[in-house]
Amino acid sequence: MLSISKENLNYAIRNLLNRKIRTSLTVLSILVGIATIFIFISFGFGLYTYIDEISLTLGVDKLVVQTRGIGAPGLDSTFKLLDKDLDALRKTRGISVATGMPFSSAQITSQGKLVYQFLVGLPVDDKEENELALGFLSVGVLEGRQLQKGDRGRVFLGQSYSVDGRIFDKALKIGDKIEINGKDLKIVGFLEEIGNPSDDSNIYITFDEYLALEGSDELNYAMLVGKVDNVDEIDTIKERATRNLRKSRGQKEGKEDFFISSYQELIASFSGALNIVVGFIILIALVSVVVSAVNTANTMFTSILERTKEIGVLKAIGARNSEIMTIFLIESGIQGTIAGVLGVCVGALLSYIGGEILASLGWSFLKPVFPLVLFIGLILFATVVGVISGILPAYNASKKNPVDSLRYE
Amino acid sequence: MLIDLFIYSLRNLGNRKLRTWLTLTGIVIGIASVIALIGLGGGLRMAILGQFGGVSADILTIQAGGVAFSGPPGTGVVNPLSEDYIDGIKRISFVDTAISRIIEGSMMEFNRIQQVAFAASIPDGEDRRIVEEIAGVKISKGRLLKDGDLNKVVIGHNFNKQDNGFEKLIDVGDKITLNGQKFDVVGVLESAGSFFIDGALLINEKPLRDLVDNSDDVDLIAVRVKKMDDVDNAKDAIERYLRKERGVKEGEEDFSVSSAQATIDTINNILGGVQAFVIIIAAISMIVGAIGIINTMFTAVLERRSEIGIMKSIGAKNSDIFLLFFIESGLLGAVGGIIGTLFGWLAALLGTSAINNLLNISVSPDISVVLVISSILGSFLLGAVSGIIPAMQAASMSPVDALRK
Repeated sequence: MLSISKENLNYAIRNLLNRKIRTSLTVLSILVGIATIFIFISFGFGLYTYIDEISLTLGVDKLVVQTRGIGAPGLDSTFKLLDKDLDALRKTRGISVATGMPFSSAQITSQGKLVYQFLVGLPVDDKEENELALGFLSVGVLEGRQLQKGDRGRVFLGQSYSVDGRIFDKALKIGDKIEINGKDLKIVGFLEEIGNPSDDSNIYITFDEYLALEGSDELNYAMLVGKVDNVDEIDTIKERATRNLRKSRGQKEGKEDFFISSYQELIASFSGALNIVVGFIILIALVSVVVSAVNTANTMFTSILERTKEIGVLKAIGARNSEIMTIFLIESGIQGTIAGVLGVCVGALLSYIGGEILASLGWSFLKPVFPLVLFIGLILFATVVGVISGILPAYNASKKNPVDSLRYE
Repeated sequence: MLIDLFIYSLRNLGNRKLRTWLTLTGIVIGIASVIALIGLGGGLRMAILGQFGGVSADILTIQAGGVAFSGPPGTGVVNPLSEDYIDGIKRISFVDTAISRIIEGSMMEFNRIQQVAFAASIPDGEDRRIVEEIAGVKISKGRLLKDGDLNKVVIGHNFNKQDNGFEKLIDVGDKITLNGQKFDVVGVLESAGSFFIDGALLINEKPLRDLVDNSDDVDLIAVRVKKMDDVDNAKDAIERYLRKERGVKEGEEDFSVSSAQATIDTINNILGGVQAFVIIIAAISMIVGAIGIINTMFTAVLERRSEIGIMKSIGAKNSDIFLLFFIESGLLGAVGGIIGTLFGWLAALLGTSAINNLLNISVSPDISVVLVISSILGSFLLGAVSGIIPAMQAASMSPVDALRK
């Protein structure tokens, strides 16, 4: 049986201290891998937290209708979602409130610079519909006010416009004018930071203004959003909505050019893709841990070779095989533990710095999180790696013949 | 002299087989993972870039401005291009010809199954041959379109396959429905190895405009320059002309004129960035392997103290001792590099064949002679650098102290 006594522990520590360079190099090699893994898991966890937050604000009671076209939602001119489709969704039994979001690409000019960003129309006439559309943005107002009923010639901007050098050299202010598709609009407010440069660069105007800017008399929605009154029946309501939209679009079953999904389904498909990416990166980082395990085994083999005579003496005065094995396992385990402790510290520091840098670049949704379980888990992992890489050397040591060992020079 | 050192180093490494093997294993894993990822990533990159191939260097593409990467040409455009520019562009002296194209997503139905597919226009008359030449489309069955073909379509190679999503291959003579209108398949294109051609539906310009009922808007204008050297001049002249025509100032262009090379460069940069990120992570394991070499070398120096003492006392110079250990660690690196490259190449081969099976494409690992040589050289250097400090320690030992231990 393996048992860890205080003497064994002291003996192992003393041995490690006697070979400072070798011990610290072994620790360093495990540390590098552990720190790398820490960084990616902490950013990975950060992304999952971000998704959880979004799905919390979005709620489980929403259905989204999109068309199947090619490219970004709403920009394919062949497949349109029109008011009759919105009406069909709205009239579906079980849907309490519904609205649509028209998207288009807009040309924005200010300070002598032209950029292209997404223009989003928001419903302002109905309070519930307004909340439903704003709920999709998942954040509140940073400065100024939201769009209101009758806000013609007014615009509400994403957070990026309120930062120097992000989109325009100088930050825009409330009351400033900004030219959109050749028309001057007055800024009434800014949205809080969503955390990714694309969404934070969106421009919001009322439906009326949107129609005026596009020069058309009917909105072409990129997506329709409906809120169900009973979450338990969401699947039935989804089927009912699909039937109604099929009718409004004159399509047969199985030949729809649109699809309906719940937020939960959209998020699940996104999480699935995220799992693959994070998993792949961690797998590559794990290769370095394997290499460091080989290094540790090497160090242990060397130290056993050096102490062959010592092992002979220990055995001659009555040490059992299991005790010899324990001593060397403790030694390799301790190196793993130290590497784990230092590795998570280095990893946490680097993740923190990396997160700050990303946030200053407008990627604040890529934010590392530091749950206790990550620290404990990785320290344990490093210890286990140390112990496992010590097993073969330790077994070798324990099986040494005392007579031969004593004779070894 | 140097040969002696090599033999001595080899013998020393041979004497400590277990340690040498373990050190090598570390560096081999590191090198192999980097090589595998470079080969795999390079192969994938070639496959993706191949999708944009078939466009020759004397072609400029004009598109209206919009949010980047939102879909095929013409998607998300604020102020579309117009047919009216064609004559003006043709008058520019560097320009051979200019042709407008429209590309539209459409709902395609066959065998009672519907799918979204994109249809690209083919112009009438003289321009037809030029577009076919520029796009590099060749017919494999049936015939290409000709002037006056109304309800006729030529389909990309992908539709002529069993796994085209319609549960039945589409062939010459079949009828397909596009946005509710029936079209006869008159030809199948040869595979061009590019999704943009293999997955396209070609229709004459007039019926396509009728199908999607849009006005005079143009999604893309392809310009062929007279002389390859004049590509940049032609680009400037077209930009000047379009600025005037669309009434925009310099620096505020709401359109872009780009050469095929520029598009490929952009994509290459993005893919290269992703690949570099992955390789950097893999390179960490190489560093860990190098730490292993340092460790092994320190141990070797420690073990051979008395040997070093003897060599010094019979007249070995500090530089000799340094070289001795330096070469030993360099050898470790080089051998690790050779084996690692071999394994990496094998892993890349396995990886690509798995991807090929999974995605039904043909990617081969992109491992060049340069990569092989530089990785072996690189790992030799890595080993040598790792040996510097231990070798210096050995070289600076005082012979008396070394002998006494």
